[in-house]
Amino acid sequence: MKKSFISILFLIIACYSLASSQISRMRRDGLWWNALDESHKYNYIVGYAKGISLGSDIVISKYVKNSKCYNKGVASIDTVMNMLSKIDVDQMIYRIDSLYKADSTNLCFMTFHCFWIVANQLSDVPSYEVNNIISYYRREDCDKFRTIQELKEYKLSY
Amino acid sequence: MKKVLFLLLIGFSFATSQEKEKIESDSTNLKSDGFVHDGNWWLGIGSLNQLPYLTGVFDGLSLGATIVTNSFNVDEICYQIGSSAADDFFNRMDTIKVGHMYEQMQELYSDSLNLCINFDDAFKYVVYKLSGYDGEKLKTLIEMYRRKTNKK
Repeated sequence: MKKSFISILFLIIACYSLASSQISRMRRDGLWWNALDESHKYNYIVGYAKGISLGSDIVISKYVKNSKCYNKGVASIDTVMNMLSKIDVDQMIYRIDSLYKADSTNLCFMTFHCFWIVANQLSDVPSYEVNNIISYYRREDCDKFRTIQELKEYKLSY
Repeated sequence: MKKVLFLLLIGFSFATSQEKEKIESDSTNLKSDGFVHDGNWWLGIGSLNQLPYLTGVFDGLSLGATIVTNSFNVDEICYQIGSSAADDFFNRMDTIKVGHMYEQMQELYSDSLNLCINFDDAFKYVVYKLSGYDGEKLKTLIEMYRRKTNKK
């Protein structure tokens, strides 16, 4: 009994420390994402959508209301927010999960780039345009890693 | 020994059930316009939800700003005004970590007078505070944010 108790305790501690070592990873890529539980994924995605809205507001608030700059700026973010309003949070999570699971070479993609890839895929953007986005992000996020091991061992400089 | 094991399992399942909580009261699509994101909402969702939410906000800011600035040609004045505003804000954010932000948000909303301030303004206030705004400027800013909400 004592042995089985110690084994269970060890297993729980091992699982927890393995998960937390990935969660505390600073690079928010597929390895980080896969270590999150459903609740963390949900809150991250909802927060991300809020960040998009807040980021646009930081720029738009500098324009004079109803000026040409203001109207065009508002129209551009409205288009994106309307696109996002048709996407369910759980659907977004499922598609990001699938993107990372489909191919281990996708693990290097930053999660917020996956968000944008999936948002475009779900909004009937032509596939050649989505492929261009994927290629761009692959160059930006992945080209510096030759192997998955290199990605796993990568540490941000801060 | 059985008791210890039982208590351990109860404790573990309780922790797991806490982890599964999420911002249920929010809308399920990615645009959450109709919901009031103020201090009461923020404090109500709890730290397990606040931290990943805040991390998401951090990551989303850049895309939001880029969507607006990229709707203009680089030689347009609208682009220059917009990118200068974005640069100023992101330079301020450079040294701020999610943990600092979290602590400051809690502190701001611990004053009941600030509970009416919406999340966006609270976030901006904390960025300005952490990036060195002086006391007088911060006072003006917070009064403006309080008035803004009370007017609605």
